[in-house]
Amino acid sequence: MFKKITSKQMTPICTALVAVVFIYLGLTKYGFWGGVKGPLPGFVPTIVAVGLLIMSVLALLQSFKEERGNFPALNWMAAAGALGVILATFVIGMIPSIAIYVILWLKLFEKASWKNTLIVWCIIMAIVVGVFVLWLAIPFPNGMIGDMIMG
Amino acid sequence: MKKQLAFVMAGVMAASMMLTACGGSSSSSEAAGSTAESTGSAAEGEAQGAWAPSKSIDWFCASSPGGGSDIFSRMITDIMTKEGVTSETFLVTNKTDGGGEVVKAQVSETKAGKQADHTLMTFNVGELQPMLLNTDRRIEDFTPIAVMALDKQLLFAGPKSPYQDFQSVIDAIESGKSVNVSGSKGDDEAVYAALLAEMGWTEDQLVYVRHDATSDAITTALGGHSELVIGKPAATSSYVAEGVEASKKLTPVLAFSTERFTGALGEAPILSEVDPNHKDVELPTWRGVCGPKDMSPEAAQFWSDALKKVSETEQWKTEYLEKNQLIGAYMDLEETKEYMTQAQVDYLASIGKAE
Amino acid sequence: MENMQLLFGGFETVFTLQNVSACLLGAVLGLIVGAMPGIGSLAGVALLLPLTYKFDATTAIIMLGSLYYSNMYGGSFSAILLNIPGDSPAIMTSLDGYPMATTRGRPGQALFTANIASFTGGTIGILILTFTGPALADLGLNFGPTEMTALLLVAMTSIGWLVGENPTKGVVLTLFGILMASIGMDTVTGSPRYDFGILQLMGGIPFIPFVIGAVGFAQVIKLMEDRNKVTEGAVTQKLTIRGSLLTRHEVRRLLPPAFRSGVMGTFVGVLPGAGATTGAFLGYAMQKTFKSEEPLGTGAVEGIAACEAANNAAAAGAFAPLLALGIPGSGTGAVLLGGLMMWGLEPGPMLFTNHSDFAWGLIASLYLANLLTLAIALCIIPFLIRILSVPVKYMIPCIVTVCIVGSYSTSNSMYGVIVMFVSGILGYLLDKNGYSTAPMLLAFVLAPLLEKNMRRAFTTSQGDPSVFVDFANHPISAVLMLIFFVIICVPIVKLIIRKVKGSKNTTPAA
Repeated sequence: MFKKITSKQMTPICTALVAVVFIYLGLTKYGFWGGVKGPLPGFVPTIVAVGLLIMSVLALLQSFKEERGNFPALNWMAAAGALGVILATFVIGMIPSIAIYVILWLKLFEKASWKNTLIVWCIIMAIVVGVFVLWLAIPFPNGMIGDMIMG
Repeated sequence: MKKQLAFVMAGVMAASMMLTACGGSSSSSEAAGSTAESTGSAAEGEAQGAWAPSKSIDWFCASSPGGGSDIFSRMITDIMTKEGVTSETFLVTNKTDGGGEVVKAQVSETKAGKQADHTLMTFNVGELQPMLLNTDRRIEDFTPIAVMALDKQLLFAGPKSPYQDFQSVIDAIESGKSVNVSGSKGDDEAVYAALLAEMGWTEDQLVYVRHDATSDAITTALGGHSELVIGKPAATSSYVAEGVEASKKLTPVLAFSTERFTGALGEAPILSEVDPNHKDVELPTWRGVCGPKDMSPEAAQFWSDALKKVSETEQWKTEYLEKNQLIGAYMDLEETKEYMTQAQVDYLASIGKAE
Repeated sequence: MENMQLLFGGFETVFTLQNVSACLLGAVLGLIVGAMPGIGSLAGVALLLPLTYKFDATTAIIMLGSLYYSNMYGGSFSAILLNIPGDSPAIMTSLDGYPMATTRGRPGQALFTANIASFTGGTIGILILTFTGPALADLGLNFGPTEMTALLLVAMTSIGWLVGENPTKGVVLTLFGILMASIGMDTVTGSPRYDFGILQLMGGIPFIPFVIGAVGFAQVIKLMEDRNKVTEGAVTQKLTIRGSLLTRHEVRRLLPPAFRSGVMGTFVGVLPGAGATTGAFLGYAMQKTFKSEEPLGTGAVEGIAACEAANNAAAAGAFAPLLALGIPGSGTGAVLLGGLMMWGLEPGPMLFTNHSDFAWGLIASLYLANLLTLAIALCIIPFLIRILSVPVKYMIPCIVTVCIVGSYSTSNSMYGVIVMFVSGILGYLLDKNGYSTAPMLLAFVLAPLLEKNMRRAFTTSQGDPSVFVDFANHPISAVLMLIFFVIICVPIVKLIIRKVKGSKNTTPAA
């Protein structure tokens, strides 16, 4: 029963914590039932959160029977790549960030050939620039540097 | 390899910049680097005509494409382009995050400089009220530029409603019944509150059922799920017109105005006609334009004049005002500031948040 | 058969070279935009609206109609091929579409199924619209807040069919989804709740970035570890139209769910505020109660057919209140309405009377759009499925880019991208721990509708809960509530019976 706490246990613990926060705020801040007005903003969230709390406890009890999951470090590389693009967007803008990201990813991480890298890069940029920027005129952020140049 | 990479990167940067420049994408207007160009006070006295846009203009709209505010924004920018107010392009951007509060924060906090002078936003009573209710931002955090049009509401009875005139509503409530009225959020609800105050009723006697849009509220009334509905002429007049099937007809029972409407809507009396003991309830809602707080006076004057020009065009009158049954009411810088500030004071008082 | 006559009149209007090419152009553009994750039909129609300004009124409306319509087709492409739902109804399509395309290695057939089902559902929807016309809209009017509450309660119970092998975990995520959806502006009182003082949260968690993250981005993270492995059962079929054709047996499997969902979807589309997502969801849930040859969720033809047919039928059904009452059933409908108004038409109860040629022209153009979109979609299937033969390691940066760009485009802000990123990581962690995210996403869509209608019903009834079962005044609601209680009680009673019987020999599985 008292094995090490793994992600299997963390998930229901987290949902239970969310439930407690929602119940607390629902009852103290947003109101539950208002006489002839019927349910107040806190009504549904509070009821649902009580249900979530109970189910989370059940899931927690169940979770001790499960094997622990594995999280290969490699998988987080995809997330790290996306995070890199998000952070770079604030500095150099979204389109250049994506352009650089795709090249760096394919060249440095996947060690792809220049030919394949450029083909993939061209297709991605054609979709992003052609469809989203030119045709649909989505105003992508320019980042700090872009804004400085554009004035 | 490094060399090649650097080359490609430079190429991408150049290409994407060229594309953004000619392709009509935009610059986000997050506090642009301030090139203290037009902030100077040199030309202050003779502002008119002294300033003109020198880059693309970011026009923000805090609601989704297709809605009333969006049509308003696009109509104005369209007329400005056609009338040659400026040769620079207008980029209308819809930003709805945080119920529109995010874009209001962004516009109001744009730092003085070129970007601030090229940033405008559609600002309606429907923008002002939630902002006052839910945030600490006030109209003083913006540069009010113009009020363009006014709109008023009416109260309608649904086809299945037992109350087909306002007197019967009064009688029912006075005899202890409760009556439902459906309506949209924001300004329509403010009129409802004003009606309650005038009649001395409570929220439980005349119950407001809030909907996301007037069209939803009308559906509820047509289906007989609420007895009354509040709406503006543009959204409702097609349900009042001659020849509408009885099961889909709304009957105007009260005009929230100091004088009757014209046409089919003229059927509805104003409150003082129904009961001479009461004053008329009128709470006109407005559609206008604001800029960042730090917009230079020269730029504000330029935009104010440009909007005046728009308000005088035939296209504005027929394709916008007439079609949407709005009342044209252009106000200049001073009047707008006064009007919007007064609206803020009134609203803050009505929600008990007076400062 | 006055309606038929008017419809033929409509066809005459539509069949000019200019109108047919406008329809074709609309269909192509709609397909492309629909296939872009994050754009969705609402933004798609809004963004393409200005294109129609260049034409005369009838041509413009026809183009708008086909744009709107083909958008619904496009959403399923990225759902099936990349497991990124292009719009919210496509969540259901990805449940069976993606497994069919990848683990079963039959992407062509998956797309084919989706398109044929869309076509069938859409045709049923348009036929119902043609024959009942304005009367269909009257049906929708009978559903007030009370009736909608009861209907949505019934709909919510069907999430039970989606929770998968571990019911506890399924329920945890369903409830978690409802809580996430309750963040933001409370529409009934207009005040913010659970915003924790963060400006962006005041407007709630945007749904599309949430879906792109929890389904699409989570998928990429998962793909990383075995990106260099040759996927088992990778595209075995030939990448041609012939190789993508369905067998006769599969067509026979496809049609019954498509018909059922088509009829059901049309009525859901008519209801106020229900829309294509609810339609697709109910279509899929309904299929759970019928027999499918393979279990749903493992790449079953029936699963794809049921939700795709319902979603397109709902899109057609939504035209009924739009044309007959001037009331848009969905956000996309509202944009379309704006488009109609720009052409000097006054949508409302008088449209069928005053502009009958136009109204029927629009309906006729839906027939044409349905046909054209099917034809185009079928032609591009062989090209689309080539995407799956691209090595996974090249697809990863592509999908990451599409996730970022798509989630940015929904609200033109980085907030959308951040929501996508966080929900992607959340989706990955949940998946690794054996939680399936589909119930969470569906609860996220349905719960706010339910809450809104329930609270409106309470406001109207002055806090009296008996309205829901009041046979005299709300018969529809009362019947639906009865169904609701039966659905809830039957499994419990069954369980008790089984326990009593089974306690002697075997213990029932948890």
